[in-house]
Amino acid sequence: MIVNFIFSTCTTICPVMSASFSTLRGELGAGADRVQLISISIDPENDRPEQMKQYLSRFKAGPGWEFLTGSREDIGRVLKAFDAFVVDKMSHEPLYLFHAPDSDQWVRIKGMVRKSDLMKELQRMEKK
Amino acid sequence: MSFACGGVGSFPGAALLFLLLACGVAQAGAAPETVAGLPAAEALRLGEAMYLKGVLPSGLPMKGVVQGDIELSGTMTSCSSCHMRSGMGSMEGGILTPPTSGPKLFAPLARPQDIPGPMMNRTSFKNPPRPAYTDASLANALLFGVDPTGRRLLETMPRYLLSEDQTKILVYYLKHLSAGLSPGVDGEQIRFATIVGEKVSADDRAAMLLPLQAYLKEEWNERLLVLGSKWNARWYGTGAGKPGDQPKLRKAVLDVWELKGPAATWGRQLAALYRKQPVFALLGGLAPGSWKEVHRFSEENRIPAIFPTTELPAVSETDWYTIYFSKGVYQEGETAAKYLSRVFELPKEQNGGAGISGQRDGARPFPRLCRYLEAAGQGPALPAAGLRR
Repeated sequence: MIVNFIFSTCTTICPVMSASFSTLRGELGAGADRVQLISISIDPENDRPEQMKQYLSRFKAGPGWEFLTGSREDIGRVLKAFDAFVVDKMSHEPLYLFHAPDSDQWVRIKGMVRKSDLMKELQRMEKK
Repeated sequence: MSFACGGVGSFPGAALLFLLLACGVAQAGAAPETVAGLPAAEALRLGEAMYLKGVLPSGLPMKGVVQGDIELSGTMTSCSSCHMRSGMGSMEGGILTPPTSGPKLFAPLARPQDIPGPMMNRTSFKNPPRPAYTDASLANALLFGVDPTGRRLLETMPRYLLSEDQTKILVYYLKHLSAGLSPGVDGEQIRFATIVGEKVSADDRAAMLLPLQAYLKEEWNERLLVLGSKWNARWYGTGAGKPGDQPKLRKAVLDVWELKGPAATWGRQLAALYRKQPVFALLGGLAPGSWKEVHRFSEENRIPAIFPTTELPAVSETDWYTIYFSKGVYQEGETAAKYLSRVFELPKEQNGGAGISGQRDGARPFPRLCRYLEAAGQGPALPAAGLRR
């Protein structure tokens, strides 16, 4: 499972992170269902289901990639739990959180990365 | 060509200052030459579609590669998404997107002063300074992500897959982006207008107009202009650099546009007023009823309009030029609906009817709302469909 935090009207880093999810799924091909992708909105006031569906279709998402939202409080709790809380959505930073089934560890990858970096981490997790 | 509306502050002073900074925004002039075998005006139109919408002249989405191995398509994002419609650039998530307006690309980027505005960041200026782009070196940047010194641009900047003609069209567009002064702006002043409807009371008129006039006179023209000129002289250095290095602080002028008669005629009246004396932007404004006609005028003529006083804005996901304080009554409706959905448990559907059917006469529906309203001493004006007190 890979989790990231985005919002649908984000202009700079989210399109690139979402493009990375999109091409990662392409790279995984038939094995795409091995990896659950989860994008969590950090802008629940603006990101309504219609906008979020539209956003996912822009990035050719399919089953196995979920875009979730919730109350401001719940999203704040999730962000804090992942040590990713920012007071202002404009100052949020690129972050990927990896979790393997049956593992008690999360792996954080911070910053803009290549698709091959994400692939490497997935392969490393599968070998374990 | 266009105006960057992103980042406008929530109080009028910040918005006005932002306008002051943005007043070098341009209308691209048609040149007699041809570009990739196309008339210049056509090339600008096609280049704009590439820049704003990520669409190639063929109608297909632009393709590029980010982060070395991630394919990006024009349906996902566009140049303007990061660099802004005006080409002013932006800063988000720790990533600086430098300006892409013609005057910035085709001049050296040597000092922090060459990127004005809050996104300016000293660390983004490394030695040697970036010399002015040429058509050829800008094409290299777009296709291969290399600047004129040979440095590689950040991998977050897409490397675009473009044909020679497509590259020429985009380069031509960028060269003309924000390359001249916008209507309503000259070397000395920036002209605004505000709108007052015929049926507005004298008190309301004064409440809207007097603070606006006082702000522009006392705050902008008499204080900020003086302070800003001093600050610029310190920051840019007096007499240093080439002439015109220092951004020009302009005096603000406010016209009052009076609208008469039915709203259906406002568009024509506004067009006539604008023809007579173009303005850079509309500030505030007050007219009874829907703001739709003024909104449409702004949109069609690409005139920014900031914070009209209206309860009936034109709500749009895609329109660009009008910024409202709020969605007015639409927002109130949404808020009320959200509140109601929290305090009520909607009765289960019965007999296949709508969610709020199935109440028995004499029963008190929605007891929590009723208690709330009674406590507030208010009788609700609830619609008849089952929402009775």
